[in-house]
Amino acid sequence: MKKLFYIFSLMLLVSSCVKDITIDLPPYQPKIVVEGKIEPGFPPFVLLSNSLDLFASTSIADLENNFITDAQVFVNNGMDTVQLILICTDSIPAQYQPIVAELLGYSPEELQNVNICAYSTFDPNWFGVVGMTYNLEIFHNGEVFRSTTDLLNPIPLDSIYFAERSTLPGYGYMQAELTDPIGSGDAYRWETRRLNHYSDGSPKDPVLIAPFNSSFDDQFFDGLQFSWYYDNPGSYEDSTIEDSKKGFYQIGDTVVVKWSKVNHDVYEFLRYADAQIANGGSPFASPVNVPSNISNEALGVWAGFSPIYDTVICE
Amino acid sequence: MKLRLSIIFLFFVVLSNSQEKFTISGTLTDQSNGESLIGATIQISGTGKGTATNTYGFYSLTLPAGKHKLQYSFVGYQSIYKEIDLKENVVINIELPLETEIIQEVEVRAEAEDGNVRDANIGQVSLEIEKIKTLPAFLGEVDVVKTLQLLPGVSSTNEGSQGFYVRGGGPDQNMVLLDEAVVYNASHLFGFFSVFNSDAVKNVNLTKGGIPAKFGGRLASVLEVNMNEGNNKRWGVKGGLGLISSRLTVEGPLKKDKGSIIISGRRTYIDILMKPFIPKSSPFHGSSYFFYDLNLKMNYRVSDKDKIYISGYYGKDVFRFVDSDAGFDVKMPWGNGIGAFRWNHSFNGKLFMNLSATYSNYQFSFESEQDGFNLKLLSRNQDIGGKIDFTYIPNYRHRIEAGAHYTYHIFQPQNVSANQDTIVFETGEVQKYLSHEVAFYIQDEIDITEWFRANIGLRYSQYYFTGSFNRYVKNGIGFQDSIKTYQPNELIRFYHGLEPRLSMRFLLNKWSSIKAGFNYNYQYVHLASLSSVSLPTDTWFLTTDKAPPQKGWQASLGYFFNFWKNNFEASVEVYYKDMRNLVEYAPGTLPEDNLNDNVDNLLIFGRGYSVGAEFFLKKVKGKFTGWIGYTLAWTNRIFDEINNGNPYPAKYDRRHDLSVVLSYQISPQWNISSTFIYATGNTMTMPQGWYLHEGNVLYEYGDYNQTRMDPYHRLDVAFTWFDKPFRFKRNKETGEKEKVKRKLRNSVTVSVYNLYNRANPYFLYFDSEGDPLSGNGGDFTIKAKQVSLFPILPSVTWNFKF
Repeated sequence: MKKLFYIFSLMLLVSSCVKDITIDLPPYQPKIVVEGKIEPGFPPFVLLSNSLDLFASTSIADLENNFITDAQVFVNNGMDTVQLILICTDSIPAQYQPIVAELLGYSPEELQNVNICAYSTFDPNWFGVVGMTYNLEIFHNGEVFRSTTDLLNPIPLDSIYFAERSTLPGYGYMQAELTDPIGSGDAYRWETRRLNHYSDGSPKDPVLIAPFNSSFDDQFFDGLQFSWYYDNPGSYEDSTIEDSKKGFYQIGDTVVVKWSKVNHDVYEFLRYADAQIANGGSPFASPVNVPSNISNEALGVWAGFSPIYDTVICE
Repeated sequence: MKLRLSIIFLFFVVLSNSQEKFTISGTLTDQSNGESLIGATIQISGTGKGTATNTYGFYSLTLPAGKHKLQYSFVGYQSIYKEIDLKENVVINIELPLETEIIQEVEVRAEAEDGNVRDANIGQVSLEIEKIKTLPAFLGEVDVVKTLQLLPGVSSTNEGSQGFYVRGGGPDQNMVLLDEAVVYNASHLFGFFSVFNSDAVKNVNLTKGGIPAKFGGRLASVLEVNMNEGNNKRWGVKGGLGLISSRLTVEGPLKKDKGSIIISGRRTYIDILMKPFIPKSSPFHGSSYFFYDLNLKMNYRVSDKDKIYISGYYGKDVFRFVDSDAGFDVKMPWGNGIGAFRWNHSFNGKLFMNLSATYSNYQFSFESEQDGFNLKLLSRNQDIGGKIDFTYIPNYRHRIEAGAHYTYHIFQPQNVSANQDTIVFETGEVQKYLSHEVAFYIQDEIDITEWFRANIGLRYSQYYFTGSFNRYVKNGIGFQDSIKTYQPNELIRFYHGLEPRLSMRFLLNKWSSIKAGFNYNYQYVHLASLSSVSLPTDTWFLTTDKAPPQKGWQASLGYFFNFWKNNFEASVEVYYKDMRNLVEYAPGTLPEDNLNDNVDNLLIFGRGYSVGAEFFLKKVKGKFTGWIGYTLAWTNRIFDEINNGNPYPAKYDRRHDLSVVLSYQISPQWNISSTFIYATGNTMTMPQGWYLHEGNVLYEYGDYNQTRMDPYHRLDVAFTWFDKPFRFKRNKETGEKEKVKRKLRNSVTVSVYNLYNRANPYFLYFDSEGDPLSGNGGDFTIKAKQVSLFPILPSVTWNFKF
């Protein structure tokens, strides 16, 4: 359906003209934005910032200044509570850099060039454990923001393999099969990363990348065996791949697939975020805000991911 | 209640006097082809009293015995005067000649009408198809719905949007009837073209206020489109070749002067023309779009008192996309199928009956296939209807109409099936919504005094929502949903209501009148849209146990006056409209939420109101004709779940709407016309702020519809050339030149759409510059971009007739 609307939009755009316009908007009241994540074996990370005025020009410096560093952030696992400390990108231990990079959308290399501070802890007792529920509490400017997330039992894929296309030898999608447990409400997320490098030695995918519609739930296949495939999200930014082959993996790629179980609140956030990113103001979509799982009108998400990693060699 | 009914019946009491009376009845038809004329007037010359023909061209006038002079007239035709000495009931069938034809046999005068001032209808407009054909048309495709949008109180949201909007009502609140059968989607290709092929259409009548009791089922308006009946005198062919489509119509007598048939077809061929020019690398490669439609109508006069009609329409839009490399195949067809059988019977010249059986079907489907994964989505509405309507005209003071309507609705709002090879996915059961809609009405158009005419009516509608039906009760994530099952024909919910209707005309003098109208309506079908523009995917659904019927009332008041010997018609109308139980999808509903659920579980209900003033000045006669229409209006909606329950403007809230339509007949061969439109921009819901998630920009939207696009304005012009009706031929015997009628008639229309190349807003979107994370490309900024559809577009259409 998305492809179809893309074509429609394109048809309209081709027969049409596009110009910049200015729109008068009422004064904007920024809100607190929470990007919080916890995974098994990793500490909780919480990045706090303010949302920004739509048309305000924003430099890297503005963005850095926009992060909130004067909050008090607590995580509770149902028994104990810990106050997270402010850790800045220049002082993050190497083993946690990939997860911070992923959270921020930076490559580890890019992470060196910016100074962003997030709330976390290096106490191994607070590293994520499957089966636990984690409560988040943020105090800032006299207001309190609360949320809860879970680290659910991960569900392994039955199989995962590179499915070469008969019409395009050497290229294909990543095909997977899953037996969904009985009981509705299971939700999943798919992310991938090619481990290959360009000729200059730089990594093809510096971080895990989520494809379009990276999350889904079992509404339509509860308790059934289900098979699907995803395209290669990294290929669209890869200038070494010609346009007609974008979207495909190719023989020789080594791909890490992160297959996570998420709870339904997180799924809803990811689903709406995907919808918003895909729509980008399209007339075929209705304007939808992304539902946050944080109280007090905060934006963003406090997300627990329970992943299983697979590595696929495309051959 | 008893008192109310007594008052109503009091008006229906037939005024009698001792003088003997007789009835003149008959039909008015076009002399050239036998087409019946709708709304033609029959007046007792010099008195202003009289009647008008109904949808079937039938009239009835009861007068005292004695001598009378009758004037038969219709716009675009020459009036005929007939003197009669009334001694018994008589049938007088009149064939009116076109204004351009010359006839000698009867006394002919061309006079302007004063119907605008005299009749009791408020908020009613008729359009003559021949006039519409000379106006500028988008890509040369003449479109009655587009022309309607040039009238005050009627608007479109913008180019590329389906349907039309009347006095602040939604597109679902217009009852569109093609030969009395309901049309659910009157648009092709997102509203760029209407489903009505101008060669197949005879007459278009829109009622936007003071809706008479004989119509019901919608809140905002009734659009009656009547198809041509076909030439019952001789066989003929007409057609047209345009830039993107062609039309062909064949018509002729089944039996001369008794019955006729007309078949009309139209197809676009942009898909065929473009295919060779789309390179394989283009994103359009593999995609194609076309639409076609077919109209058929037959009528036969079985006896002097009986006539039957069979009408049919079938139209389809088909979009297809095939990407053989990706193994991807999508087909998206949508369209209407409509059929109507009607039987007219005249009992005694005073009592006329019409019995109709109608069928309407609208369906939209989406089929995709990729690597053994098949997805099919279908939404479909079917109406099976029956109507009986009586018109009783005891004398020229009364026109009493009564009848009963029945519709069986079968709606499948959205059904999805999906399978991957042998695995069939759980997408929910095929959901069918079934209901019976019944209505009874009575109305009387009555001349209470010389200066006071009223149309008083009452409609009573009933609605039965019945099984079989499964009600999904959602119990939240992780819990088993429950289903309540209703058996076939089990009554789930019953609604009913009285719908009083009134319109009045107070004649101030020969040239001016004041009119007032009130109507209360129930609407049992709804349309909900998930997108900010209207699409064929918009879902129609029925009133259910959860979704109550829409209710609305409208009061309107108008001052109508004609001047310069009825050459000019002018009016000012003000209205207020209140609407309840309007529907919207709940905020945050995504398209896939429709699956495995009842559609009405996703809806929210609210109210709306609209207030406005319409100014209309029309020149109806002469070489120079046209109109200026201006509307000043406010349309708001109030939903508890949207905007914290505060009123917000509807997306088609238009503060100012101006249309200027001018047509000048330079000579019998040349016509020039132009239209100019100015309208306040549409409302939009815009983001106010943004934030980052995993490096992606997410938007925070502000209040509903608080931003307006730029105003819409456009000027179109058209030139039409008609060939001469006669040619000269040398008589072989006398050697002299003689005038002979041409068998093949041609006309060519050159039109220019958007003459001054205005970039009108179609939609807005956002684009960002720079990278928020790396700073590459400079500072990160978000810019609003406006997409406009059509620049200046010339087109040429050749029309022919033989």
